[in-house]
Amino acid sequence: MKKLTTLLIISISLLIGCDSYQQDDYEELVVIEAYAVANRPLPHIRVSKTSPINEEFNLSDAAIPNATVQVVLLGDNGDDEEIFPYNFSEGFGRFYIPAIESSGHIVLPMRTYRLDVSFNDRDEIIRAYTTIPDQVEIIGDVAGDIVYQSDEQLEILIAEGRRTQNQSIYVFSAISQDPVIENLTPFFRASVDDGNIELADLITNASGLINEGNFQRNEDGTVTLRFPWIGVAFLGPNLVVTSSVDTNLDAIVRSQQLQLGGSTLPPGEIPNLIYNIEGGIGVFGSLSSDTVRTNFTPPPGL
Amino acid sequence: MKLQHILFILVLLLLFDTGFARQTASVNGYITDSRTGETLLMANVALLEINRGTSSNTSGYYTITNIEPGSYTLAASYIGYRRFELEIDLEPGQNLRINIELIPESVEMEALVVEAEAEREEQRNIGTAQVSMQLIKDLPSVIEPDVFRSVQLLPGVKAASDFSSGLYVRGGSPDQTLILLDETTVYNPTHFFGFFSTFNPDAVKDVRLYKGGYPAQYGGRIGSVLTVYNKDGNRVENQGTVSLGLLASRASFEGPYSRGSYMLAVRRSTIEPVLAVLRQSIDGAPDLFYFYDVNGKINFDATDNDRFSLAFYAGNDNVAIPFQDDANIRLKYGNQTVSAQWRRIFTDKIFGFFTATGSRYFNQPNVSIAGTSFERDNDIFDFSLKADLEYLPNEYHSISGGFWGGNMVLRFRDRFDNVDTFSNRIQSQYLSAYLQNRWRPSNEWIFTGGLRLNTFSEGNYVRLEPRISAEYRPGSRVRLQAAYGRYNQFLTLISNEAFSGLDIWLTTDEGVPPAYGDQFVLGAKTVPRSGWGFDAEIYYRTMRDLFELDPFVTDAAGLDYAELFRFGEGYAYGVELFLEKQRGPVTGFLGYTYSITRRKFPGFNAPILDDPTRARFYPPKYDRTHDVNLTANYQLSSRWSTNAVFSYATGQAYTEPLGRTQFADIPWANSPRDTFTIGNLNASRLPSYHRLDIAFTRSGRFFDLGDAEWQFQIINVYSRRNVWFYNYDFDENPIVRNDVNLLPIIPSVSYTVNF
Repeated sequence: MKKLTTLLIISISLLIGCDSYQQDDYEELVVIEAYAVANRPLPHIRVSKTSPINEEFNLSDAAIPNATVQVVLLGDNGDDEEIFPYNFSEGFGRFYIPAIESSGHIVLPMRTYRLDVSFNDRDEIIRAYTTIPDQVEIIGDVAGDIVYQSDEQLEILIAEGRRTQNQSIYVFSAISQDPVIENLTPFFRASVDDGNIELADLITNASGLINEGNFQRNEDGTVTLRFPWIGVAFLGPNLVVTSSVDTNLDAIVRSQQLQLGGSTLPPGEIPNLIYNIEGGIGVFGSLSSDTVRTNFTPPPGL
Repeated sequence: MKLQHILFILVLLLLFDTGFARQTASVNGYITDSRTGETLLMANVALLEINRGTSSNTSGYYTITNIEPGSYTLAASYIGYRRFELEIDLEPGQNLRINIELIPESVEMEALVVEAEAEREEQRNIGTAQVSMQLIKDLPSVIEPDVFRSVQLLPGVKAASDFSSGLYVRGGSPDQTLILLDETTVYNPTHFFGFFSTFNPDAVKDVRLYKGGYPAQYGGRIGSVLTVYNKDGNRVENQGTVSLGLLASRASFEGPYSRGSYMLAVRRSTIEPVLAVLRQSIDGAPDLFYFYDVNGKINFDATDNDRFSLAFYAGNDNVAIPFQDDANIRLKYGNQTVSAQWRRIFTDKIFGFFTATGSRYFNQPNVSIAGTSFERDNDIFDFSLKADLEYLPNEYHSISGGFWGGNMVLRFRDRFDNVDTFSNRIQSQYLSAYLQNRWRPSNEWIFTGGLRLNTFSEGNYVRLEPRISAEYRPGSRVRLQAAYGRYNQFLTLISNEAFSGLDIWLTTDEGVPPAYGDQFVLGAKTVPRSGWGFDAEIYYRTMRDLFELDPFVTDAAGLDYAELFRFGEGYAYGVELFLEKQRGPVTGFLGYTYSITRRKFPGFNAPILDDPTRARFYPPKYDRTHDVNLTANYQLSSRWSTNAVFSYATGQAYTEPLGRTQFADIPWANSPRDTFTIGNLNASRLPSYHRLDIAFTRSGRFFDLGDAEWQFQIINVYSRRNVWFYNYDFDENPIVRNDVNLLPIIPSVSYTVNF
């Protein structure tokens, strides 16, 4: 019995001593944020640094002003085709904007761009790529006036586009042109009244990311979308924007939502975001969009 | 040890038979409770003169074969029952049928929830633990006595939180434990979205957990097996129980009829009055919130050798919550099971039972917000046939074999805005067969070898699983044990620790291979002194090809099936100590577990600037290094008794954010989105968990109609504010961390009448 007890104690001691998993220390990281939009000028680019969790954070103060930033249009074989230098802007936002010689460039759909960022006083060399989705094109007319929560929902017909990834990923947003509290639909009015959300946060009401696989593709390759009523925060005139996003933007938004909770992860298990950036974190993403205008009118009795 | 070597040893064990023809006798029969006629599982029976013993099987049947003719004393024992002894004379070639009726001990003895060493042949198998129904009913509990909450007190079993009844056994997640109710798989054994389990203690007669290294008789999960058997019903007299609680009540009836017995037990939440009050003062209080379950069984004793039974279970949870204007949530989920069983004594050496099972699980959430609906319809239909045969050729060997085959259909459909957005139907046939030999060459040694073959049609997988164990008894007070087994799993559960009402099961397929793992267990069962028991076990297990839903997949539409998953591996090891006091005015047990659990998935917990496909092992949230549970029962007087449970555990793992940043320009966002940067995942620990629960029970009479019992309980006596997780408030700068706490102090009272 004594031998057994001794053996047990030795075994436990060995087990306890051979597995340690420690918390590591905070590391300051360079953060990139830029979104190129097809058929628009080159985007502004934020270059900033992270802050320790227990310190005050201000994005403008976190900006890194002395970086060398450029965006490169790549050729079909991956060579540098055209280089667009950037300059730091000390104005509102403190981000990098295309230099004068770069400002005339229009972002090309279906093409790949590379972002290069380096520093004189930091070791990091940042590199990221994005392939611009094909231009989203809404074809046909949309109804000019739609009665809210009637049987006739807003239908959008999207032209067949060329793919840059396995499937397109869409975001739909309604941008109110008359965002006053009286125009809020009942659900969102209650949310604002209860203090759950600010009215300003509803001016653009977005759907979240939706895979193309959710929609039925028509025989001619077009895709018909029905705009859900939950996307309508304000009655009255709205711009309805349909966007197709690249994998980088998709990854950062999905993983950011995951970090806030939900999904299958237990509460308190917080993963890092998915960053498709070498040498730092953040996102160099792209999208293409098309917009229609419609007017949501109140149903009788509302 | 190479697989070929293991197979060779197993074949030897299976084929080696030292029996030879001679005119011997045998004795066999059922062991039952004399008061109710209920069969007693794993009761011990022996012929004292020749020191030959065995235990009853899961049907309550025992047999002792190859006995030299002569006079013997047949003895039987079982927890809480008077010892049975009978003088018998056996003639050459005689097959003596003796059905043993054990008489329950006095009330004082019934309070002994742990058996004496000599009465625990089967229960003391390696990795196996039993929880007595009396203990389950006596322990303090929230809402209802709960089988799973009681099982969570055993060493090696952990709870994720006060709100989750899920069983985390030896580093495995809940889906790694096969849960069988009367031989039928139960896919979501929870009520109140995971708060407690579906098993009604009034209906259950036996709960047994095979924590690891389990035998070839079971399969389909890489971790453990929990078997629950419902009562057959009283075969002697009609009997009933009514129990009224503040939040739930239950009733059961059982009794005999001309050829057998029946049992019916119902349970329902009675929370409606509380909701009615809440609705007066709180917005968003549920319009509807209830659960119920019904258990039933009917037995038909066709002949002395043939018994038939039909058992069923149906449970349902239903909730409807309005929130704000123009929005509501409805959720309905539940299980239904049915099993029909034929038990036959073929000869004195062969016993068989054949079971047809059906199991359905469903959940149907429906969320409607501002005129847009989201509906989900998730079903599992699992129908199977099982056959198990036990053959005892001689006193050295006990051979068992069987098969289990079935058809499983998993249906899953999502509708958004009245349009189908995702639909999936998986139909798979499964078949498994096993052969096992328990070889006892001497009183000191027992070897058990087995093979299990599993096939699963979805993906065309065939897997062979060797199992082997050995036991050495150097003396009457010590048993040394070792076991090894390989296990495969073809299913995975998509769930959330905080909420089980939306659970979804998925299967293997092409590109999604089954998870598998090896388990190694060493154990010692000892009796340091009379009335005490002390057990120790050390285990190590691997988990390979783990497949689970990729948490980063938030929209499954358009993805290939294999793209839904992430594939990883893990391991767990630990030491479990169990000290029990079985006799005296104070009884109870103290369990201690030291354990380590790690998981690894590519792209998860990779260094932030490193290759994103890399992976590092990390502890899952439920990993708890030290875990202590103490239960004690004290009979204060003939009428009053008290029970207490104290639990202590290392704080759970959580991820401490290290840094922060913001994304200010997401094109469709109205405001910046805050994010954390983290280092090692789950590298920090919440404060230690501890809690004391106490129950006082007063026995009496309900007029002259029956025995009655008041139970007064206090959960979390000193109102320890254990932390569930931390919430981070980005509206504050710097960020403020807030505690989200587990259960506060909760008093409750219940009244039970037995008639």
